[in-house]
Amino acid sequence: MNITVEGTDPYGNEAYHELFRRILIDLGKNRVVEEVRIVQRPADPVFVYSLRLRTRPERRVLSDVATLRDEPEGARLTISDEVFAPAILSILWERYRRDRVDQLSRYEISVQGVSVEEIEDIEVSSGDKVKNEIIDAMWRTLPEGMKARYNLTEGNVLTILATEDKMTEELKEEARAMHRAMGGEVNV
Amino acid sequence: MFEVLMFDGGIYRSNELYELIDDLGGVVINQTRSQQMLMITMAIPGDEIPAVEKLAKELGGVTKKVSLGGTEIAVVGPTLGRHHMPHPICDIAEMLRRLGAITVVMGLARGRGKGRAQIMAEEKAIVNEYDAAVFMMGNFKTCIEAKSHLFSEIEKPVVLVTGPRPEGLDEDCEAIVDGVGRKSERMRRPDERAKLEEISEAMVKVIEDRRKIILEDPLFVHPAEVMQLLEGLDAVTYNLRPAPVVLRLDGLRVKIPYREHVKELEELQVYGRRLGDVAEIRPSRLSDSSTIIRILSRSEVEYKDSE
Repeated sequence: MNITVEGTDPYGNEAYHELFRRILIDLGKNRVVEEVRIVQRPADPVFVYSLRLRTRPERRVLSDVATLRDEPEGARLTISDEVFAPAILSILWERYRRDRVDQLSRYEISVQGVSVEEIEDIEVSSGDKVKNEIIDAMWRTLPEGMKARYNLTEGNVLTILATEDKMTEELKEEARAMHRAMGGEVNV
Repeated sequence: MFEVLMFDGGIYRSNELYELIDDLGGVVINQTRSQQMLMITMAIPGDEIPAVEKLAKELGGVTKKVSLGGTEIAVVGPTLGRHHMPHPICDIAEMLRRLGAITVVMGLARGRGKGRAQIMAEEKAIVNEYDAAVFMMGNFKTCIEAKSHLFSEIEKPVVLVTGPRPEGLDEDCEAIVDGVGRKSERMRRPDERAKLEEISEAMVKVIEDRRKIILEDPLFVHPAEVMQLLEGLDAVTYNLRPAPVVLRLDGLRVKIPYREHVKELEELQVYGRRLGDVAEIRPSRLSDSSTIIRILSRSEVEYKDSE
């Protein structure tokens, strides 16, 4: 994760570099972030945060992250992406109760009385969850008084422009330029 | 002359300590019990301190002078939102409590924003009830300088804690401690602990200066002696709030409703005088369930008597 901060206040630049880095670590999102660019002009005041994720967050269903087969007692899953193991277990426990969901080994799960067809399209990860958590990290970092915001959040680049005063077209264009420079698309 | 002392030890035979404090004419200001550990902040006549120290040693505890004992300090942030709380405001408040102060953490209702931040008259009045205040500001120099109006009209001494060092604010506060600013976690590192020490040293100096001013025209009666009188009131004895009576430099905060108890408080006798004649008793601006007693100085009492 690479963070660069540019701005008119040297102390603030260094402080916010560390602040954002720590907030991402605390939320466990530092590994999904590839690059961050922050521009801050506190005297105006204007803050622009632009962040690129390593991969585009996508919706995942059970059949994307596990191989499934029917067994006499019910459906049997072999988890192929362990990152989703906690989510898979949590969702199956919630739907079918713990007494019907057995974790046979680190990667094998059995769901009693349920067919593969019934569970293969269960959503395990919404593409929006990761983005929402990253946006939350950005809002936590931005100064609290910067309530006028302009957001560009499609794809794997997230850009937020925040100011306390009037949002002008000029400022929006600055945010769009930064968004494009980070590899994002802007549909205006 | 009363001095404030802190006992840090265990609960074993602690009843003997309480009895000794009572026998010596002292008063317990605050006590904190955590499982088997006990911390007692007490006000004791200065020449009786060796007796307390001797017993404390016998009980396996330690005593220390607490430089902020008998004070009530507000630690103020722009808001109570996650940007400003809990770090580092709560770390600062805890540091001051370890030195014996009773602290209150406060967030302004409309303190956010560089151009929009404001403090209400009610909030100023509340902060002015305390002996001193710490105002916690952030990481941008221009923002701190633009927000000086939040604390410039506070009548009590203010210690300003900031990230970068602001300019032109020396007249608006008693001390400025820079190098802190916004934090996302507790201040644990050695350099951060050093900053907390710096803040507490600044506050200790502020309080000592204030004590010297009070000594130039001493109070009619020491607040600890009034505290002893108040402990005889049922409203205080049966009060469920922790620390129902809080000492301040020039008086006390009693956490009982003003309207219901003002007459009772005024009639308390202290050195042959009504408390109402030697102190100002008024409701707290924080809440009508608290009463502020400001003890008049000797010259104020003399002037009042001469009228």
